[in-house]
Amino acid sequence: MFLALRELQHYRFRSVLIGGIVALIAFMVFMLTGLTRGLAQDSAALMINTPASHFVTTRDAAGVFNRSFLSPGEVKAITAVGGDASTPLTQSFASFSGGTEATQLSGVLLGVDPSGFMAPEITSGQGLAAGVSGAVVDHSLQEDGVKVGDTLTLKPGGETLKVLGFTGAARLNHQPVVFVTLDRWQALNPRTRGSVSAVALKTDAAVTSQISALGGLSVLTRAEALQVLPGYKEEQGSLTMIQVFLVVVAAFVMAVFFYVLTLQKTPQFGLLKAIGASTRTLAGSLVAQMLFLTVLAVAIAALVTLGIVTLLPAGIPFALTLPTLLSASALLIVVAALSSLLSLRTVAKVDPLIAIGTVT
Amino acid sequence: MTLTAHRPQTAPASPSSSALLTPTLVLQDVSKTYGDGDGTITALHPATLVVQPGELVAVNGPSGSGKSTFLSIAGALLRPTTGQVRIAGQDLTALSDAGLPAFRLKNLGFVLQSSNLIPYLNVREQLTLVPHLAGEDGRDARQQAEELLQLLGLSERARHFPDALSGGQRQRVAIARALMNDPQLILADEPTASLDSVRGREVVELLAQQVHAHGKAAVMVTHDERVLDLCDRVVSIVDGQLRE
Repeated sequence: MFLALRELQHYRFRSVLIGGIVALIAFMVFMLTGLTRGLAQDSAALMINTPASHFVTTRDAAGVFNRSFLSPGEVKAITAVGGDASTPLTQSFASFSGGTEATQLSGVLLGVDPSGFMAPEITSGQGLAAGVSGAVVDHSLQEDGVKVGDTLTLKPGGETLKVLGFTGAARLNHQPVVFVTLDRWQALNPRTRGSVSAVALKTDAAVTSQISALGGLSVLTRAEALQVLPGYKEEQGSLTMIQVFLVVVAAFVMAVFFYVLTLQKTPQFGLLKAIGASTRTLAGSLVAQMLFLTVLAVAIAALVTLGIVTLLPAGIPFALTLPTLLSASALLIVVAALSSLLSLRTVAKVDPLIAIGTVT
Repeated sequence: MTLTAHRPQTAPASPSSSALLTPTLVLQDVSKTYGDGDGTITALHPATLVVQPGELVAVNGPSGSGKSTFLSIAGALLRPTTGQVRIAGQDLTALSDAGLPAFRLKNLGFVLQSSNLIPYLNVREQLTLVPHLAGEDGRDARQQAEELLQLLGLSERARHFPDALSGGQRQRVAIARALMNDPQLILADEPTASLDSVRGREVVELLAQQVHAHGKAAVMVTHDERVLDLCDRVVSIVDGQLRE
């Protein structure tokens, strides 16, 4: 530790440079993680936070709600098996006006059973109940000026929905969800002839295999349904790829930097070994240096990230929780520790003989 | 030190008045060859050398003669192909590879060529590094470092880094460092290289003085003829053959 810290301290400029690179990379990893999570929430908060464990759609829809039309008979067969642990939901897209601004709004019109587990939990106002014709909407609509008690006018038919209350984290397909009762939804979408998009299940594999056995159905877990959500996998995939690349680049930068330094210091290691320093001491010193630098750089990057987040405009979807931040930091530190292995091999191979002239 | 009658004595009897002392360094018929079969290269032909406490021995010879090989074997850095090395009574062939660094750390002091200080440690830390590596940090180590710096006239320079020191000062620091672990044997590799004759002489005088005052043994490899008169004995190596 002594050698490691004294060296970093003596070559302060060099330490700041390498620490700066690591900090910048860590900062980018954190920001991208926040954006990835933020986009996921923006795209599919409903599916991420849902209490449901599985979703049943028609087989030909393969989990995509807006391609799936389960007939009332199929729904009956599924709920007969699932009981209380199953509840139908049905989705269509809606365009409506409302709020203070003159612009047209859009959302996902979701019909749910008000007594089922897919009914929205309200954060303000009133919830859905059997027979009501109003709607509970996602709180992101508040930004468009929608308030409890407002009336949303659906285009082009002119039907109206009274806003009963707001719910949190209900977005689907990058749009706010407008919850209505199943009956109201069927009334607004007569063309569907009583069919629904999916049945949500909150159950285990035993029941789902029974439902699969009914035939003509496709049963997906929550995570699978999230992946087939249009656009979700593509968005998340490209952002995740950038993150992976950044972590790999960080590993290489650290590995190469310390490797070159180690090669340069070969005579010094030879001298230290001749004096009697063991390879273990020198290796420990190198790893300590690497970890010290990385931990400090990552900590600074984390603080800067937390600072920047408070300055971000509200419209940017960004979600970074402390556990996520900590696990990303841990990953970077582990990667740095691993990247020191390249140099450790060189340190182990240094022969103390090089400290003494040229062996002839 | 008492007589070591319990140990089989293979070293030749000392010729001088120090017959009662155990020799600090005994090289008995050591040789070093590289390669095997027809391609064998002999770096050092069987050589025998005994160094008593309080004795500074110069090993002289042209470059490429095997001096470095000789010093590496005497310094427990290289195992001889044949023969026996005994330092302070310890037979080195009995030590494992892993045990050698610890043995060097405790029993040997090295003064190497000009580039032998750690660039990012100040003079005091160059000295305290040795007990630090041995896991013996503390007041005693700092006290000893202060005393050595005082003794070698380096107190003023304690906080300087090597790049702020002259060549002679650096070698004095190296000598101080070599004395930090209170070694029985000091090995010096061309300590006067890159020094002018006055500085070079000062450095070797300092080394001789420490050897004589504290009963250390020292082996110094050098091709600097100007400092040979300061040594108690001069042996020379030519083409791998050691001659007294």
